[in-house]
Amino acid sequence: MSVSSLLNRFRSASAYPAPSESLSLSQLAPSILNLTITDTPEQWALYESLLLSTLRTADDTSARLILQRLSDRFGNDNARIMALQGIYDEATATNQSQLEEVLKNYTEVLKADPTNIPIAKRRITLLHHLSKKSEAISALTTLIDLNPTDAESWSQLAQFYFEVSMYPQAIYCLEEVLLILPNAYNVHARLGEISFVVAEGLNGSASKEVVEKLEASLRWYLRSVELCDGYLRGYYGIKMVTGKLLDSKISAGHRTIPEEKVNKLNSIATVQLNDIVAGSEKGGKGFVGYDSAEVSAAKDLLAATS
Amino acid sequence: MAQVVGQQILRDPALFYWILFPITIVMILTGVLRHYATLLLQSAPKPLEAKAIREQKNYLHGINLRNNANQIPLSSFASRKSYLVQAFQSGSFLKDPDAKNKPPANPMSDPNGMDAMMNMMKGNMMMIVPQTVIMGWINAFFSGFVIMKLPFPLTIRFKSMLQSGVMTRDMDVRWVSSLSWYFLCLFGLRSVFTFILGNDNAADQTMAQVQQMNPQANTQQLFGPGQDPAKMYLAEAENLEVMVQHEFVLDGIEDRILARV
Repeated sequence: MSVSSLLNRFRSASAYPAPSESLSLSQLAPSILNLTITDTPEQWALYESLLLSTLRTADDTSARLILQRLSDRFGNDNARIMALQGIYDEATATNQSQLEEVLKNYTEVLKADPTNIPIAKRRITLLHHLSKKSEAISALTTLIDLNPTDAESWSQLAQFYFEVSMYPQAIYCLEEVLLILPNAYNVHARLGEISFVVAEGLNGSASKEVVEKLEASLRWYLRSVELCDGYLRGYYGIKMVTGKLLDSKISAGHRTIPEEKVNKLNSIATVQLNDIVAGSEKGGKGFVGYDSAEVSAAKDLLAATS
Repeated sequence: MAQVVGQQILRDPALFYWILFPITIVMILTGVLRHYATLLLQSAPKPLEAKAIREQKNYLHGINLRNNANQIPLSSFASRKSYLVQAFQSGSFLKDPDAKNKPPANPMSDPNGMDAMMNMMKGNMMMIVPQTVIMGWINAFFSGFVIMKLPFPLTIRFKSMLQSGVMTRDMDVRWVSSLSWYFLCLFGLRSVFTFILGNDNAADQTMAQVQQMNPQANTQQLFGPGQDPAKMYLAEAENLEVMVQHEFVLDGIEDRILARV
């Protein structure tokens, strides 16, 4: 197989591959490593993806070899290679103290060169992994102060804040992502999710504030399906939120969206979810790429509400 | 001016093999050599220091907010606006806040600018040195030879282009002198280099000239050497301040979705 077809295989894999998928990718290692090195950007991108796959499947010898070839080509002091080396060290660490050692290493690198963004990001991830959440958040805010136009940092910070239940901060961060990537429909849906969680957590389920939050959540979800037809999470969210809004406990007086519209939106979401569930079960054209867990969740929701 | 039709010049066929081919081959080889020499001489762009990155990215942050303000609710926009305007005006993102009121430094004394200039110098040297040498070589060995006849007629205007080095007024324009063959090679080998070395090669001089035209295009410097970041920040703060119109894209979204089905 050629480099580009192999690379396409890696690119078409999902962001969070299932173990079987990782294994099949990782088993490509011998055939990729036996290809002659042509020194093209594609080949090095392929090496990078393969490194991550082999580490996922604990094929440490291949990973070592890949890393060796990468650092032979680009040098040990290349920021990206340093981060890959860090990932390797983290993956092969067997106990807590070895991880702490890696962390110390990162801190030292950053002291020498605070602009080493890949290492800074590795350090934040490792801090979070070692359950030093507040340290991770403060390190990430320092990074964002350095570069506030990096969508990845902002969305990661949103996730960190969400985990410690600081919802307004999480929403702020996701809004920053939207300022950088205004058409990111998944970020819109995420804002809907967080607003929904906020509404759920508020006391007094019929208060004006709850309705406000629920409607905000509904609008974010609607925007996400406006940007991306057939976005399962978006329709799922619309169905959830409209169901809550139609709940008899919520007084109609606080609503800004009239009940008939909410009803209509609810039925639109139901129709769309039915389509998606039926289509992806049949494996129809245009229904590929849906996460099977998400599809079955949608199926459950449909079954619960009908 | 009298033109003789069907002019015949008796040439030794060896002229063809011993001038035309050597010049062409030497030109191609020089191009390849120049490509690799340029690659060797190029120094990697110096990474920016943390404060410079911060200065540039925060400026972009302001621009992002201005461009995509409609994506976020009014209250979020207003709070960001007031924060950024205040920070931009006080100059807290500047690389050195003390230099705010000083006149901009001489661009020649900026070490980053010096780097870029040094690179440009190297590139120029790589162009000039081989060209001078080859030009001298051709002049010394092959000047005055008529090496071939073009298979199509040309107007008199081409005489100076095709017959440089041969001072014969009445000769047909279709005859090409060796020096002119050199010039044709110089400007016409581009596709050959693309074929040998790939698309972004440094062998061809026209490419280098294009790059010299806009040296700013491929550097990572957002603020040019002569620009004052403090002034740009103040201008951006003003741009943000005068933004009064805000149309949240989520307003009326439910009607848009309902209208779609």
